[in-house]
Amino acid sequence: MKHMLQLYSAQKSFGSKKVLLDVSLGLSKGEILGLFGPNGSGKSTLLKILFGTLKADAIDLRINEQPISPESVIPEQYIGYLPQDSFLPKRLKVRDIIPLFFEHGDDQDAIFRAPFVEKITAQVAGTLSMGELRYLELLLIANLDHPFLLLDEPFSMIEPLYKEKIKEFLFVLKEKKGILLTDHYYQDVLEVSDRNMVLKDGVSYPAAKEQDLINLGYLR
Amino acid sequence: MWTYYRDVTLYALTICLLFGIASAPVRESVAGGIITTLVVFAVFGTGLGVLGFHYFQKQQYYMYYNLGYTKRYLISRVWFINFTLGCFFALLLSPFI
Repeated sequence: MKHMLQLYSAQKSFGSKKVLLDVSLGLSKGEILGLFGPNGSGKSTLLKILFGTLKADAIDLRINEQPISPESVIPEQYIGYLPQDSFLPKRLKVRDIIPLFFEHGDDQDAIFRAPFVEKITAQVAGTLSMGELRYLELLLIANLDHPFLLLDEPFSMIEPLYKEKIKEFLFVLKEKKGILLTDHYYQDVLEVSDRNMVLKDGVSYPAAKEQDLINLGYLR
Repeated sequence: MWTYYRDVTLYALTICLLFGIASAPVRESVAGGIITTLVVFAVFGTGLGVLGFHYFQKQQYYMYYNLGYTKRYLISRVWFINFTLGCFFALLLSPFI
């Protein structure tokens, strides 16, 4: 059972710019970890490093204290990742996209029966609203078997109705996954997160509440 | 996986078809031109198709990553299938040169 993801001392530079100097984190199954930081602080970089699509200069990644190679994250499906930008084929209908993610009828039904999905199944992905698209993408990725999930700005540009649905879904989802969540809509993140951390000057700091975000310079 | 194959191969076929049409005037026979186009498709087509996919549909890689497919896995499978098909049809047409 994979229930603890650990990252120690991740470092990453782009040329002479050092984005991540010393970033460590632990993520357990059953918790949502909020990640904050100003634009350019390396949040997305960190998520891509964890997902294995960006090579770190130095990294020690472990699951249940067992070292794993970042290159194995995708093929072994250790971690799911919701990127900032939409990734679904825009010309396909929702009802044709769902079987791309799930072979079995029962798994497909779980998506087809999810709130809001039934009314959009005949629509082409490119015509969905931002909220519908984001919610659908989250549902698709979250229902895959990854024990850990990285969500990059799931609340951005989302209408309130879908935002609430996403929050409700995350509360249910964390029972079976560990979730790392980053978004500038900090109140939404604080509402669902169990712990938080701030990336500042390439280093990760724990932040328990809103006041810590102020103290660490993320908020005024 | 199939959708990736289809998308990349459509770009590859389009580019190779344009190459075949553009180079038609310098070919000695139609069959020779088709075989050359098939060989170009077999060897370079996937690479060109991947460039097209990268340019227009790059973000979709995240769908495949989440499904457990790495870029290397996807590209190598598409290349293998298209190389095999391209060579097969080129050999099939070779008696007509």
